[in-house]
Amino acid sequence: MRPYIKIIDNIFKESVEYRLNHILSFIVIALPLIIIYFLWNTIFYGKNLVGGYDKPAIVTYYILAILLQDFVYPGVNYEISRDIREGTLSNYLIKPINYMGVQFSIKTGASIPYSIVAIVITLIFVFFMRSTIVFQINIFLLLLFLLSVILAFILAFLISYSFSLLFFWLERTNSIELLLNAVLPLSMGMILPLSFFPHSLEILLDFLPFKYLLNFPIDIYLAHLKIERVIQGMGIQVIWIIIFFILSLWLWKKGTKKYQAYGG
Amino acid sequence: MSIIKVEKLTKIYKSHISKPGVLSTIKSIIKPNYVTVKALKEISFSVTKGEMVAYVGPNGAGKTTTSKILSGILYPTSGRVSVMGYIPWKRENNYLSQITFIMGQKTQLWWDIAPMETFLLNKSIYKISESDFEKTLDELTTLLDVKDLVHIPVRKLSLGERMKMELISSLLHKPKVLFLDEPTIGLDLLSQEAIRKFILEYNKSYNATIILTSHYIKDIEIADRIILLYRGEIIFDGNKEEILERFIKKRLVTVTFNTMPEIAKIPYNIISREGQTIEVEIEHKEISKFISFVFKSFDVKDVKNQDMNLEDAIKEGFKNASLY
Ligand SMILES: Nc1ncnc2c1ncn2[C@@H]1O[C@H](COP(=O)(O)OP(=O)(O)OP(=O)(O)O)[C@@H](O)[C@H]1O
Ligand SMILES: [Mg+2]
Repeated sequence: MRPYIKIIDNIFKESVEYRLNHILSFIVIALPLIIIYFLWNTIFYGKNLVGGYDKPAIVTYYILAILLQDFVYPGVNYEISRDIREGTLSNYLIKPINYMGVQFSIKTGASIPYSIVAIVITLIFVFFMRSTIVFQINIFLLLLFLLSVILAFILAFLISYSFSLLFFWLERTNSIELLLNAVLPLSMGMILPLSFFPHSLEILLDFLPFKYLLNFPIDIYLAHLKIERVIQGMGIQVIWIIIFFILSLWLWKKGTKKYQAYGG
Repeated sequence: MSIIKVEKLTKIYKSHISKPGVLSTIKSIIKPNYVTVKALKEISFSVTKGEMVAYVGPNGAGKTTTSKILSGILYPTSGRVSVMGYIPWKRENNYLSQITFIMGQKTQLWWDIAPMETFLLNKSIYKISESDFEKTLDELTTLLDVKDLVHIPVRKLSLGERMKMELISSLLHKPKVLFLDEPTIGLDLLSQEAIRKFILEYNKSYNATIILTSHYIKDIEIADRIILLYRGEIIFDGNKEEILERFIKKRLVTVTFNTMPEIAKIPYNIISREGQTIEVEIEHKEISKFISFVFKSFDVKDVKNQDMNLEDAIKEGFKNASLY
């Protein structure tokens, strides 16, 4: 475990060298929050319920969506693609250390400063918008929410890790990436809560991993799900985690055989 | 006992060639176009424990490729390799804990934080005990004279300082086998010398086996043995004396006489004559015969052998190889 903890520490120290970035990321997080708040204020004008959510629920949904997106968005990991294409992966291959563990630590380490910023923003937001936000005071639900977020974090990491390992075979992944970036925000529930979608599409999304990255944890927080549905959902999270874990091990084994170790 | 064994090692790189244009892009998806590069062609050699081998060859000869395979980064196309009894590309932790691979053109240090942080990371990766770590770190930083720099972010260090940190970070776990790929590239003369001395010192005090690649003759000179690689083939493997003998066919010998004999009595190729001194060009293997001949036949004051030059021998070796 030690090396991985030290990597988290190093990543944190590295990010302290770039404090300005965090102030910028603060703005990046805060800006959409404010826009969304005013947007939904307009949509709800004269209405109580939209798509099964009342106004505090929808505002809370988006706040959580924006705060969580950085942890649970399974985009291309550019660190990994660079390691493969520029040959810096060699630095890890010659050491008795596990690369997946390294990348997980890096992701975790990079999330720490972001979490701090996110928590600060939430507190400020909550202070000003007390009346329009859902406060979840049920400790049990909060714990379930936290657990589902952690599972979502791991799942997102594994999806992104597996996808990034494709760089062993592909020179460019622009087109796949474009497709992913078009599909992901919608299917995760980042743009709209998934209950806004037609029922048939919702059912399809129940079986895919994406919903469990964002929409599912937030619905737990909002107490929109019965306990059976929560347990079932977490089961699906775990199954997808296992699938992507095995997939990434397989890709790693095949990929390192093809690895060209460019440079030097 | 040989610690590194390489038998008929071959590495063929395959790379896509992509031509511009939509049509050829689509074509290449259906039927990819490859070019193959034979980087290593059935090379064989072995290295004994504690030996320092200079692995020398022109650009593109396959030196880095060899080191990458031996350190487990690359899979070979065919052939057998065993280092300390391990197959490198299986990358067993026990193997990786005992080797290191330093590339002068690449950094393994974390760029934005102090070298110390990378050292500490390696300490935990290689499970180095606190006391060993302190001791080795002190030793290495003293030897390389960089004690005061370990807490400065790597990006602020000069190239030479960074290279020293690179060495320290790669040697903290006291590897038994070292692959050093151009560790002195781009360094000033003093830094080069410091690193050269340091490598030699490490080799002696830990009885470490080292494969050292460099284009600098002074680096090559510190090795016990030289392997010349030319376009993926080993064209020479032996020590300094052997390489000179093999590739420098003729040498200049200067003879100074007390009383000048008749030139015609010396049946060798005389290049110049100045007063009592002549210069003779002579086949390598005839030198001792020649020397005893002049001493026996004439009144000789002094005989000087021109220094044989390692650099010339290596160049000559490459030139010879290029003829085939
Ligand atoms: N990943 C790769 N894909 C295709 N060809 C490669 C690759 N890596 C190396 N080569 C080719 O293999 C040959 C050997 O390369 P290598 O890097 O081993 O040479 P080298 O002896 O280290 O040269 P240098 O002195 O320039 O560092 C070269 O012809 C090079 O172009
Ligand atoms: Mg090289």
